[in-house]
Amino acid sequence: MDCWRLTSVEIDGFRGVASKQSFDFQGRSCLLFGPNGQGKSTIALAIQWALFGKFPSGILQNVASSSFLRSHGNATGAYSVCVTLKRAAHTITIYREAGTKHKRFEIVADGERFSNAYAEEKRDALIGMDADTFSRLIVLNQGRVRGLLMDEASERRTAMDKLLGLDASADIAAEMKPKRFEERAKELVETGRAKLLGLEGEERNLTTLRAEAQEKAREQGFQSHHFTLSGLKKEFADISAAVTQTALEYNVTLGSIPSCDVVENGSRICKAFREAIGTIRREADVLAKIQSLSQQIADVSTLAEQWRHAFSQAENAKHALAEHEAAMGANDFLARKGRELADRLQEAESHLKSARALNALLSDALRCVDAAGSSECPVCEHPGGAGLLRERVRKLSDETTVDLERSRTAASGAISAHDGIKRARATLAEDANQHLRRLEKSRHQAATALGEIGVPDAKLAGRLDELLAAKTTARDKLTKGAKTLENELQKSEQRITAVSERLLPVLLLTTKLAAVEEKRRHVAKGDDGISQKAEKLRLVADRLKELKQILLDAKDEHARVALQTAAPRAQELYSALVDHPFFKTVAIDTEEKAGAVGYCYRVSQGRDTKELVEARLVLSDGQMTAAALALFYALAESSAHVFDLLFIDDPTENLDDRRKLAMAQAVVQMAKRKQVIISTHDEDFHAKLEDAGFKEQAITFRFHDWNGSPQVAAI
Amino acid sequence: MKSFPPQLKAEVKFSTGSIVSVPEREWQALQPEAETVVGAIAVLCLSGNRDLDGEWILLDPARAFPSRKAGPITLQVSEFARIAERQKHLYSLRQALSAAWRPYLHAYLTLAIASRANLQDELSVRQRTGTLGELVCTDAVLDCDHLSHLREIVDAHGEGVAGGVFQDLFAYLLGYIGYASVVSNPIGVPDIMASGLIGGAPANLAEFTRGEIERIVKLCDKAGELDLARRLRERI
Repeated sequence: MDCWRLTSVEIDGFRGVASKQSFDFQGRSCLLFGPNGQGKSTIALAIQWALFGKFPSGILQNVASSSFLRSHGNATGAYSVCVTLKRAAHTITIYREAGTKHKRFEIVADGERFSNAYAEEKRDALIGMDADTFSRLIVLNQGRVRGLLMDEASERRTAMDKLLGLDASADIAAEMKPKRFEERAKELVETGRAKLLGLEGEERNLTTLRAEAQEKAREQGFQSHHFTLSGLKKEFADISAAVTQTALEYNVTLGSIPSCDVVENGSRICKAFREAIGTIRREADVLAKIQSLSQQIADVSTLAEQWRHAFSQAENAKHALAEHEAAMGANDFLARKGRELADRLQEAESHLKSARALNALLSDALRCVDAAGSSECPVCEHPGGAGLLRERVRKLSDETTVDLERSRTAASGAISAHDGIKRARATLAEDANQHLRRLEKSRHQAATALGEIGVPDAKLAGRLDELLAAKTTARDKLTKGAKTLENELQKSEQRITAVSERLLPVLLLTTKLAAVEEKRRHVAKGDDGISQKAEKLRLVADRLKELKQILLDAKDEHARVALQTAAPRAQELYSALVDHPFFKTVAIDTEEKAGAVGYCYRVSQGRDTKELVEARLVLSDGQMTAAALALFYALAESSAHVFDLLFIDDPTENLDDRRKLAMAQAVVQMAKRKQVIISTHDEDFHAKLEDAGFKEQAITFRFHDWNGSPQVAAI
Repeated sequence: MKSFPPQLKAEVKFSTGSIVSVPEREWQALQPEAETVVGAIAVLCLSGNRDLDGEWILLDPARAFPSRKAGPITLQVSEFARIAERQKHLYSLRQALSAAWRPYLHAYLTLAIASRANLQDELSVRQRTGTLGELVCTDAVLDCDHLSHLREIVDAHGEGVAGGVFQDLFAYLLGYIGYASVVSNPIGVPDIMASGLIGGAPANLAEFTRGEIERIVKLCDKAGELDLARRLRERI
């Protein structure tokens, strides 16, 4: 099969090559020879970087790539590498440039050009190898076998995994930790158990609290059948019926009271009941009725009193009038008598007037007599009449007139007295009329109060008394009713309080207990997801174990096959490089230990013996290095891939003269089959390579006088 | 109800331990003599195992141990439960018993504690008059209350008599969930014979227990749905 060989490498500004330098390998083996620090290893790095833009893990982990890759003195400039590979008629040129903002990666394969990201994408397919495989199988650095010499088994195993390209699967297998899943599953089961215990504890506490609450509720008369939602509903229904009935009785309209569907609504319903009771207290008509009746009672009482007074006054007035009439006579009698008295007075005045006129006449006559000195009366011409006349004047003045005046006075007094009687009569009559009017008014009011007319006066007071008694009875009844209402309301309130403070706590605790029981049931059945999660984790752990085993088996198989394939060449190289006088045979195999594939590098006296000894126990450090290199080269040589190239960097470290010679011979042998590019600073080794005939089949680049870039002489 | 065994023979076992033993004579008596007959061991335990205590475990020995010819059946209660759980032909019956048992026991608890004889009389009369469900409330009974009820019965009578009380309760529980005829044998085997399953119940009634139907009848009466109540009453 035609494989890739390295045709040329062109380096510019990269690591130890500051100015542009070309190395034309022509697909042939090559010796890069020169002292340390001349830029030999730069070529291996340049090839890897150009092809893959990265290095195997362990290089450049904490260093910015540009500061590592840029050559000394090339502070800011670009650096680039161009690698040309050839395989039969195919040529591929890979160019990579970095160090400035403009990075560039380009592949030209048989004239076809790929750039940047697309080129990166196509690269592995075009060259037929990835970066890890390239660094593992093409670039052979002695540093990579150091791990095989370590005492620590895990380090040897890690180094061997890397040599075999199984480090990734080893890493994956190391990441597969089923135990962690198992432990987590156990933790979850423990959590579930703890949760269950916690819930059972909670359940016990709630049971105790509920028992105490039930005890208190029983003190209030509640019984077991009350301690359920139905019991509560029944209790609320009873309270509701009582409150509604009371409201109906006292004409109070209540809003609707919510029904109790769940215990949690209990407090709200109790509150609604309390509000309803408050409404009844505020709006019950019994108090207004009592007030109204009291007013009516007062009115009827006043009315009855007024009636009695008016009736009595009227009767008295009538009686006084009657008595007056009886004593003084009736009005017509008084009228007649008045007329008689007036006539008498008139007569007396008339007599008095006549008497006075006579007296005046006689007095005049007397004066005439006296004046005439006659003794004869000129009126009656009676002798001696003057004396008589005088006598008559005197008698008339002193007796008759007085009597007549007395009579007139008496008549006048009688009239006055009679007038007084008449006035008294009129007053009495007026008084009686007035009382009668009052009585009529009172009668009308009483008729209105009684609601009927035509009640006889004698019965009216009694009827009013009856009405008063009826209203008083009604008021007493209502007063009693108000007390009853308050009693009923208080009873309902007490019941609500009992429900609220004693029954509801029991039911709320029961509800909580039911919730805890439900939760406990869920946890016990595993419905809370914990046990399912634990089960899933166990399943994951099992699958992980299986996968890990599959991976380990595959790794073991791969390693075994690789080692078996490399074994003849490894034995050959071991014999040549180590050339142990006693342990002539090497055996490398895999073994699985503690869930990981381990490796045995053992030696024995011969092929037939079964006495295998671990190599590092019987070989010296130098022999071990040689033995490790033997395995390393054997693996590199025996692996099937598309590169016909080995880049061996400084293979003689820690090797003695004899082994250097053996190494040189081995390299020459390899160079017959592959393009071997070997770098060394070792003069002895260089000489031994020349002695072994490497020069005949290879180009030699001698590196010297490095001053930023090496001076390279192709020989 | 349609999927209940038409005739059921049962041996009731009450245990405060974790093992239940059924003598040969008893389980042999449960062997079905006809296709319509199912024999079942009904186990009720109160052993401190929260997952099993207080629930009726119903196991058909003829199907569970078809090859057994002789000797007692002795099993852990948990094993009984595990086997019973797999017997699908008793699933509906188990479900109905499970749903009805707690409120039913709660309803007759006072009687059960007071006197077995009175309990028998009461249950018998109620079975005859179709009023077994009258006292049964619809409220859920908590685990702790239910177990407490069972303990009260055991404390009141002792384990031996309590077993008899539970036998009576179980017998009429079968009546409550739909068997018209129930016989509880104080001596002899099997302990219980139940038959006369409410037949021809329309599909929409199939999910109701007898007690529930009784309540529906009452509600119909109360609501004035007399014809419906009559028709339902005819069903039971």
